[in-house]
Amino acid sequence: MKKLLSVLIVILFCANKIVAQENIFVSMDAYYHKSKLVEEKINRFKTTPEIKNSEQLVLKQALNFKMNSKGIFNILGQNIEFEITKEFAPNHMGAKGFKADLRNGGYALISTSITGLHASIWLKQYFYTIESFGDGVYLVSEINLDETAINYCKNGIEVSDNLEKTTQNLSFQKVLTPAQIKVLVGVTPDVIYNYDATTLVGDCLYTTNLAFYQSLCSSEIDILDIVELSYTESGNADTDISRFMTLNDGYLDEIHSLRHQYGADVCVLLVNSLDANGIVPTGAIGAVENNAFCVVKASAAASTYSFSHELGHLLGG
Amino acid sequence: MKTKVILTLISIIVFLMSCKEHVVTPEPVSQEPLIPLKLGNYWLYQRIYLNPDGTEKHTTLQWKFGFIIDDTVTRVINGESILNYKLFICDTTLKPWYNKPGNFEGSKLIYQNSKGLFYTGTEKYDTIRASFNDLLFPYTAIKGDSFTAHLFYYNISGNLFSLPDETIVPYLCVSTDSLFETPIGNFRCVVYKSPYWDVEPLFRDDVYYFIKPGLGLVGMVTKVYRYPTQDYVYFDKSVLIDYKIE
Repeated sequence: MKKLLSVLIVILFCANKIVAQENIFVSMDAYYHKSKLVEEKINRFKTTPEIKNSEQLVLKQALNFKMNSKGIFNILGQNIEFEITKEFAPNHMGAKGFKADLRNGGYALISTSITGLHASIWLKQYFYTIESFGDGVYLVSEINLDETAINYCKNGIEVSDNLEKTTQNLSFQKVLTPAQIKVLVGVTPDVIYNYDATTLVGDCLYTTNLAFYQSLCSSEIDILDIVELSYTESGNADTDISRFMTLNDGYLDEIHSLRHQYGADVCVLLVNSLDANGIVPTGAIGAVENNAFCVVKASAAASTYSFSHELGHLLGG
Repeated sequence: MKTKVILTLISIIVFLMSCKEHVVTPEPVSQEPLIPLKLGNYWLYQRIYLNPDGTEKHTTLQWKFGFIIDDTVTRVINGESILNYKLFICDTTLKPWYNKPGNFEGSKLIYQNSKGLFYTGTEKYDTIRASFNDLLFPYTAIKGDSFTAHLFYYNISGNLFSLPDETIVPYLCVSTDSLFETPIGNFRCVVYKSPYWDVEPLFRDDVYYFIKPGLGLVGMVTKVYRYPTQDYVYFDKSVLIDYKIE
């Protein structure tokens, strides 16, 4: 009996050790298949000036985080041990959020959903992000906080020199203004049919400004007006953003004169059908006058923060 | 000389009194049903954005929404048949968005008895989606009372973040006699606070429900606690601008 008890204790001890030492990731072998879209997305993301180092990894196994779960972020040559200490809104729309304390000080915020694992890790003076890019591929990045601080919006006028130069001669306000960003919202007839547009746009304003507040960002948006535009939705994000942004292509051209009339910094088109939740033009992360446009799917605009998300891209995020 | 001094003093006092603003003395809280529930009753609100210190911000467009009791359903709860009222979101046209599937959320089911206001579930197009029986706002309220219940409305335009009906949040009675100012009058209210979204170490969102017994919800205030800077700032408020109760 004593022997059995000893064996059980040893098994329990080992099990705990195994869990405690579980690596989250494994390396990607040379033959790992990634789609061209994922590859392009990763390459585009990697060129962001804030990213100091990065690597691509895949999950070792399906994750099932819960309170007191332990594991190791084996990323960028480090083994960062963590333990889950808090759950946020469990199963909110299939997503789960967690706070984890790191063994060597600091903490991580982790979310899991059908799109995979996302994490932000603060370890002493280092900051890492883990993002799922599709096809099972995760990009782990070490963020240069000095570079991030350059673009940080405060009550002063702390915008990057680079962006200052690109916007200084425009008649519009800077897109990266730390003050109020003026937004003109266009809606299609399909949106009018399915939604009360005033409510929908009001919710977008609410969620965006609340997110800014929660994020300690002093910027805010103001909606100048909601205009119904005569447009038959294509359902394709690339097509819709191109038609929305391009002048004199025969589609949605009135948005440009309306933008001047209202003095809007940014124009957003809300559509009913889209093959993505939202899109900004290529190269518009940190937008200037001629590309400060985005298209957002109405059903995702407020409830999943897509309106805020796309504006965040235009503002440089 | 003495008469002159007295007359001068009286003149000053009269002058100062004439400058005094009209003092609003709201009626004290009385022991009425917390929220009058009857078919057709409605409450309309205007959303006002606030600066961190609580002063009002300017926004170009104005948003006005409300709640209307547009239907009833009798449900058996704990073996007892109880008339439940369906509380819908509406705009100034006072119609729930039955024909706008993108906005239409269905209704929240509520009833009231001597213990307070009960929240019993949600329905959409006459189909029950969630069922429970929570004492949401106990009344008579006692300051400091805390409890948990399902998430009710925390915003006049509805469930902005698509939080599931099953979400349970804490509630706390923080005051039984607070003054709340609206364009249609000042009301003394019972105040319940609900921290509905807590993602420490980032932020926590709290909503304060201001309820004038006998009239209903006269306002809601949202505040955000930001853990990194440890500041607690105002975000918005919804104030009653029109209502009909019977």
